[in-house]
Amino acid sequence: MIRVQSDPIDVVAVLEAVEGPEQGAVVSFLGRVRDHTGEQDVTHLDYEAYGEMAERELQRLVDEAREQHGAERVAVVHRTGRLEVGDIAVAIAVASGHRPAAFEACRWLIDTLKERVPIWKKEWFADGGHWVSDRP
Amino acid sequence: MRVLLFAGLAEAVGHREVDFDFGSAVGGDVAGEATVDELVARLREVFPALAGHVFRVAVDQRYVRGDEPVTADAEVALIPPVSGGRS
Repeated sequence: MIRVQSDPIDVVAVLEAVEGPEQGAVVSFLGRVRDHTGEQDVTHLDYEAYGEMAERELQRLVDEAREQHGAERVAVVHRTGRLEVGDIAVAIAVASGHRPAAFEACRWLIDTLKERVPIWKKEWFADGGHWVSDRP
Repeated sequence: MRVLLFAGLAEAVGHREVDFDFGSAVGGDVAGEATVDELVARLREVFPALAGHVFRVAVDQRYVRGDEPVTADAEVALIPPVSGGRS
C-alpha cells in the first residue's frame, strides 16, 4: 500500500496491509500535527504534493527498504491538504521476520521520506504561514 | 515544455506551471536536447523570481543530475527542499 491522499489515514488498514505469516515483527510510525514549532503556536498545516512523483518516489523508497534494510512488507500513506493539530499526516508500517530489521527499516523510511519525497509542509501561525523549506 | 513549480517556488514565481520555449531557450532546434544545468540557467534568466531559491530538478518524475540531458517533451519539475526532519 503506497498512497498520497487527501482523505484521513485509516491506520488499521495500514497495519493490515503488512500482515503476513512469515513476518513476526511489525513496526509502525505515525507523524501527527504538533501544536507548536519552537515558541510559536501552530494553528494548522497545509501539505502540498507533486502527487504522481511522490507516489513513484515512495515506491522507490519501499523497494530500497526491501533490498537494503530488511523490510519484507511495507505500507506508506501520506496526507495532503489542510490538517489540524493532532491529525495523522503520515503512517508507515514495516513487517519483517524479526524486530531489528523492522525497526531499522521503519526509521530509515521516515527519515528518507522527509528528504526525498516531494511533499511540502506549510506551517500556519496566528500571524501567517510559511513553507518549512523556507527556513531549513 | 511544461515546467512545474511547487510550494514556495510557485508562490515566488506566481504560477504553478509555466510554458517554456525550450527550443529557442537552449539555442538549438526544438527536437534538440540540453543539459539540466543549461535549462536551469535559462529558467533563472527568464524567471528572475527564482533568484535566491534552491531546488532540485526532476525530469519525468525522477530526480536528475545537472549533467543529464533533457528534451523538449519532458515533464520538468523544480523541487524545493522537502518538508525536513524536525518531527
